[in-house]
Parts: sequence; structure tokens; C-alpha cells
Amino acid sequence: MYKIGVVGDKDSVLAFKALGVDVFTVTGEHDARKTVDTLARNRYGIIFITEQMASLIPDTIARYDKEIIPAVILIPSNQGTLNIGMDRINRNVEKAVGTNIL
Amino acid sequence: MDRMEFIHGVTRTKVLETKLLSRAKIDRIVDAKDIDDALKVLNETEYSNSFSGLSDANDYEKVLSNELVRIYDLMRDVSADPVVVDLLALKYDYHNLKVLVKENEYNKDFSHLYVSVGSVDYKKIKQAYIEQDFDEIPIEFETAINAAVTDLQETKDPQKIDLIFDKYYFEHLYNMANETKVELFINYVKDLIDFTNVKSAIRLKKQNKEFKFYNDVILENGNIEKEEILSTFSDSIDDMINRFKNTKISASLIMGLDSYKETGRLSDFEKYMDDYLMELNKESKQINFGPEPIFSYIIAKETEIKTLRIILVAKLNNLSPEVIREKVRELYV
Repeated sequence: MYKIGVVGDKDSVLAFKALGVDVFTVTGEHDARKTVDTLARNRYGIIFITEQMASLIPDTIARYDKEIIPAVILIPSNQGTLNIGMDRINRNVEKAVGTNIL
Repeated sequence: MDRMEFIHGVTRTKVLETKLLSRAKIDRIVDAKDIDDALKVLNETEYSNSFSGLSDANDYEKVLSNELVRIYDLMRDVSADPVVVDLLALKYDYHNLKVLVKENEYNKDFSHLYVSVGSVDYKKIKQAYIEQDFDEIPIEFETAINAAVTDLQETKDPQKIDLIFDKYYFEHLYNMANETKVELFINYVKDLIDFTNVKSAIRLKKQNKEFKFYNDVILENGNIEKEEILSTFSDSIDDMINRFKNTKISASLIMGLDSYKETGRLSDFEKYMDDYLMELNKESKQINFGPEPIFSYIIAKETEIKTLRIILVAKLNNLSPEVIREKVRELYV
């Protein structure tokens, strides 16, 4: 069984604990990169990461785009969305069906 | 309790009071451009003693908990009778008891959740629990632990652990305050029970709990009778405002309920409660012989730490100074 992890600043991700997924609070670029890489190595199938954190480590996120597992999914943090996550979905849809149907 | 014994302690407390954060200092922290800046301002105050070992602004919580420990250690030294400090430290004991029972019943390691300012060292409680030898700790703790463990084995509901300990906590606290025969302490505890009861009633209402649950949660010994609170079971918020308009704490209660009606949040309610309790304690400033100033100073300090925690979390999440200012508590000085 693959596990699910959530990565982000404490106030944004703590509530995910109630859902039973593993929560990892990170504070900076270095921390975020290390955590995502560790999770990927340790059989995490889905990694949710806040857009704020993801924007600090675009190269790491891009690296996992080419892998099947884990799926790195961007979520908005408690400070609102940066629209990176939605952009990525739009781009993927465009790639898959040839036109932006969303 | 001999009031004259406290002369030395009160004098020391009066000096300490001058070091409490002023409104101007709080304003500067609220207006700081980010959390690093806010911590810099804080480092200029008496909190600088608690800054050691801080490497990252995200560890602000460490500063605040260091400060809490420092204050309790200091006040234990200042107070001629430990019960004055124990009254306020008791909530940490019961917190530790909750952690202890959960840790053992679920075989988890929660050692980072213990707080080291209780009236009894938590290691001692832990030892007693593991060896099932409760001679060294207060009998109230033993009763509470047994009640919680028995209930857990029956119901398998971890939420009940908290409810049971809270119930025993308030009973213990009330008895402790009563024994001191100090009016402020008794009033403080009674008002605290009233606020807690009304708050519980609102929360249970929102969760659509059955009446039996009310009966389990609502506490006795407040100024407002337990039956009176229980009869809010089918009240709307307006009915509740009407019902409580003639109580001792009604002014703050009604402001709190009003704001809950508007926003659906209890955060303002809690602010009004803290402000009310602070007003209650402000009378201690006129007292020169007696335990009250020591008690009130600890409350002032705890409220200050709570205010700082609110401000720093808000800073970390980039809230605007206006929003933060609404949440800042009434100060003692």
C-alpha cells in the first residue's frame, strides 16, 4: 500500500492530521526539498504540497513530473492560491486532449 | 492563610509588574513587518532571557514556553504559599494527565507534549502511573486517572478522556480555591466555570449532541446553576442572551454571544472572557498585603504570552495589523 503525505507550513497542513494522512511541516526551501525527496523514497504514492512551498523548489517538483510515482499535487495554502496548481492541471489537460476543455 | 506573610512577595511582584509589556510595545510588535522583526522587538524586553537557543523564527513557540517555565519557577520562589501558584498550575497537571493516559493506552510516544510547569512534576506522576503506586501524588489525580481509564475501557472513545479530566480538573480547582478562602480566587474560578459552561453549550449545540452529552460536559459550582445551563439545550442564541442577561458576567457574555451570532466563531467570545477575567484581577493592584497580586501577575503574564502567540502566528501567516489588533487581549498594566 502506498501512503499519502502532506508537506507545507504548519498552519496550513496541520488539519490534514485529522484525515489520517501523514503531515510534515517544513519551514524553508532546504527543508521542503529534503522532505519531498525522503517521502518519494519511502513509498509515498501521493504527496500534497502547498503552492507556497512548491514555488520555492520548482526543480524538485519538475523532477517528479517525469516519474509515475509519486504524484506530487499542489494545493493552496491558508494564504490563498498562487494558481500554480490549477495552471498545471490545465496544462496537463491540454497535453492529454489537445485543447483546454476546462 | 496569613496575609502578612506575602509582604515580601508582593513587593517583588510590584517590581516585576513594571516589566510587563506595555500597550506601546505590543503595538510595535503588531506593526512589525514580519516575524523576524517582531521577534527583534520582543528581544528588547524581559523575554530576552528566554531567547537562548533560538535559531529560527519558526521556533518562536520555544521562546514562549521558556518564558512560561521561567515565570512559574520565579513565582514559586516569590509566593509564600505554594497554593497561589498551584491554582494556576493545576491546568497543566491535568493536561499532563491527559497526555499520560493517551500515551499509555495507545502505546505512542508523546513525550514532547508534556508541560513542565504543573504543581507536581510530570515525571513523578508518570512514575506513579507506571508503578500503579499513587502515594506520592495528590489523591485527586489518582481518582481522575482511574475514572478516565475505566471509562476508556468501556466506551473506547478517546474524546471521553479529555471530558473526564476536564470535569475533575474544575472540581479540584474549585475545592482548592475554596480552601484558600480568598475571595478573588473563588470568584475567578466560579466565573471561569460559567464562561466554560456557556462555551461548551454553544459548541455542543453546533455539534447537535444529545442531552446526555450535555449532562456529562456541563460543570457544577459556577454562579449560574447547572440546571440553568442545561435548559439552554433547546435555546437559540437569542434565547441564551435573554436567559443570561442578569448574571454576574452578563456584560461580557452577551458581547461574546452577539459576536458569535454574527460571525459563527467563538474566538471573540474567548477574547471577551479573557478581558473580563483580566478586569477582575486588576483590583489586585490596590492590594499590598495578601496573595492576590502574585496570582494576578501570573494571569497577566499568561495572558501576555497568549497575546504574543496570537500575534506571532498571525505574523507568520501575513495577517494585517488591523486584524491582529482586534484579537489582542486586555493588558494588566
